Amino acid sequence: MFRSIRWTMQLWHAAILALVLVAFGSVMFYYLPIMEYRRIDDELTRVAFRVRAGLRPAGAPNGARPGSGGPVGTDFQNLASALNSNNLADAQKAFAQLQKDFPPPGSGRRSGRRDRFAARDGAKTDSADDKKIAARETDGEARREPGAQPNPADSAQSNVAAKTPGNAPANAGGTPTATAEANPAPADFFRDGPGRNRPMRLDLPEDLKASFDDETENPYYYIVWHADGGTILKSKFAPDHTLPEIPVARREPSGRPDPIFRQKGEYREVARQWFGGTNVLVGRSIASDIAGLHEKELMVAAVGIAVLAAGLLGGQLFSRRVIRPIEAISTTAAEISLSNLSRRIDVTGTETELTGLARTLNQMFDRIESAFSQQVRFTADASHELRTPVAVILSHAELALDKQRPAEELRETIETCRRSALRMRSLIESLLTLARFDSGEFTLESRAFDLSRTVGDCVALVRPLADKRRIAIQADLSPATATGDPDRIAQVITNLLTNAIRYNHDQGKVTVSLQSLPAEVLLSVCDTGIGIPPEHLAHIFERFYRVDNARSRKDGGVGLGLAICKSIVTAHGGQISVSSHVDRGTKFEVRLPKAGSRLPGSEDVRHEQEERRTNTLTAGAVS
Amino acid sequence: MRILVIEDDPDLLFVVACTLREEGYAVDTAEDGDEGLFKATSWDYDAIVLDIMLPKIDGWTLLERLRRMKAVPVLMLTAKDRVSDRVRGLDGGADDYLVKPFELTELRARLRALIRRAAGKSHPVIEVKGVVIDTRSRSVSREGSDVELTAREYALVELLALHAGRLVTRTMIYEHLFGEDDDSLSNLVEVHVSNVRKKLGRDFITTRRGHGYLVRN
Repeated sequence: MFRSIRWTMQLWHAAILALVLVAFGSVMFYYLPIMEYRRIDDELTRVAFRVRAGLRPAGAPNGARPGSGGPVGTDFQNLASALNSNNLADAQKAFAQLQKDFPPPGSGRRSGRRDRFAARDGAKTDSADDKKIAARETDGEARREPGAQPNPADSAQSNVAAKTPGNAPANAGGTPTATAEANPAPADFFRDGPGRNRPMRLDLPEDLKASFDDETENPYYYIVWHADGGTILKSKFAPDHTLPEIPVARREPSGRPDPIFRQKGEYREVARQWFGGTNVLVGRSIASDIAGLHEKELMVAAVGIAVLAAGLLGGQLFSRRVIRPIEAISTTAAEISLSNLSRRIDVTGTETELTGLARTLNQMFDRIESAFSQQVRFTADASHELRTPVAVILSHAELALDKQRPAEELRETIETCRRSALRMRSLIESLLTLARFDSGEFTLESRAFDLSRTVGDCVALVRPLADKRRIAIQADLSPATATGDPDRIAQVITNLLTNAIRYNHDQGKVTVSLQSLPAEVLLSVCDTGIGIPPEHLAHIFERFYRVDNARSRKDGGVGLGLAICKSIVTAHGGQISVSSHVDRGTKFEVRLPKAGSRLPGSEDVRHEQEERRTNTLTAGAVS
Repeated sequence: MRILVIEDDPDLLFVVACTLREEGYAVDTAEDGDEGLFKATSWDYDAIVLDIMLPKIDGWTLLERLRRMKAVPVLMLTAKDRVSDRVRGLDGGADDYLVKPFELTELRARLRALIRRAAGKSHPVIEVKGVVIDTRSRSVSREGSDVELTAREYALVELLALHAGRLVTRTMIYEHLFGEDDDSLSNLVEVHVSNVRKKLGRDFITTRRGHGYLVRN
């Protein structure tokens, strides 16, 4: 069963389908968690920035930056909500408000970037970067123009900073470079330098702190600590984890220390270090995300299995569809037997390769049927021809034995029987000859011989027959040599000459001519006889075909002479053709290959000759 | 009884004609379809033996044309033995079909049956006025004892018996008893009638002067 085309197709189909699905599934299973973790990490980073942005030295007035007095907590919430909702415009607005209320350190000067670790502008750069990160997470447009976006805020900050230089010790690094150089802020915890390793007491605005108190509303927790140890700040629900080591030396190419992402049990955390050794860790439980991820993975697997099942089912139906016509063909072909040759494969319907195959098979069946019916007809004809002489012998013998007969009568009976037996013998010999030609058993002698001499001999042989009816034989023979079996060729010539005499009018004329053409020898036998009606012309080389039953039978013919002629000539690689006019005569032409003229592989020459001959025969049949 | 044999093979024609003549039939022969059709339509035969493969007009055509004019029984004699050929022959109006090579005895038996059936007597033994005629053995007996008849005489008795109760004209007797080759001297109907009366009784055959003869039931 599994060796059938259908199952082979099915197995291949299933294998390919499974391969594709496994590949696709693997990619999905590989990338799904990665994408999930990236999303969570981005989220945590965003919160970390928020926490970082809220950091300020402890003891500062709650809820407001010195010199400003704006509701910082509200500003943070605005910014956070805008960031969460991915609304860039709102985020920018909220940020601008925040900047106004709580002026970040540094101004918009680009020159400071080159010297990142300079104490004067480190904080400013950070701030600008923070903003950029925030913008990057919300909009790609803003990310592409990092320099253009912060300008209005920067200028606003500059203005604010310029207006309030050294206003308060808690001015968190917001001092423009010139100012900072002149009057460094003692409480600038972001600054590198002498105060670098000193843990600083920091705090967050109360409202921001409070926003982390409700775990159901805000799943995040934060921990702020200093690189030198000692937790500075911690949200209410933060778990007691060992804090990650963040080596200061590790920096991104852009100059920022690498953030650290880690997984602690069900918690995902991001930890970052900012200048001044202040580390911020933000994390949350990702149990629900993991569950969601598993769900997604299950879904992918389920879809994969469903696709495989559907594919296999479809493949089953498809292969059945493909196989069905093949099965129909084989069923029909099996039904065609010798007793039922007329069945054909149904080729109606759409055109496919199988229709072509069916058509080809049908044509083959046509040929088999025609060959078979020809064979049947031949056998029937042969037995028919044998029946009459047998009937004669049988009935004559029966009659003779019926009663006492005089010797003379018996002699006559025996004579008749002998005649019939002779007729049967000649018929059997003809049949055997044809059968041998058909089976290819016939071994033809193949040698060059003088054809003109053979023709001359044949003419001499039939001359008495012609003389009896006062028919003149005119031989026009030019020397020609042919290759083949001279005896067989002589048989052909004799047969044609006998026919020419037999079907001639008394005192008629038979013309035999032999010509040597460049590639072949042309023998023609022409008579002035009764001719052959055009409707019979195409059939006269068929076995047992008779133009008129009376004509040949009276003369002892059985209707095989011309068929034998054709077989012999064809076996010699020659051609025989006929043309005739009723009451004017018939002309037979035999073309035989010239001795040594046939070059090996002269296929085109032969083809051309064949075509010419076909035309001759057609033309003859029409005339 | 007069029979026409149409057969193109002279040897076969000879032997069939010969055996039928020995049987007491008057036999005409034809060697081709043309001649056969002419004879078949010109005379009333009791049966025709017809070959299919004939020169000029083949057997099928001949039969078709003959059937337009005559209902004479036809036995087809042919080498074509396929069922389709037999069906074609029988459907074409042939009454019987015999495939070559055949036994002469079978041919004779079939012809007898054909002639009998054509006369409306399917039984091979006919009994008229105490005379029993066995067509199988071509013998006649009267009151239990066999009567020796010549072939001609038997033919005459059979003809009259087959047409018992009906008038048989001299021409009919002439046509059915004598073939085309029979010489005129032996053709004398009166001689045969008189000989039959001597053997089967005076009143077996009734003479209708000027019309013909009659055997009463």
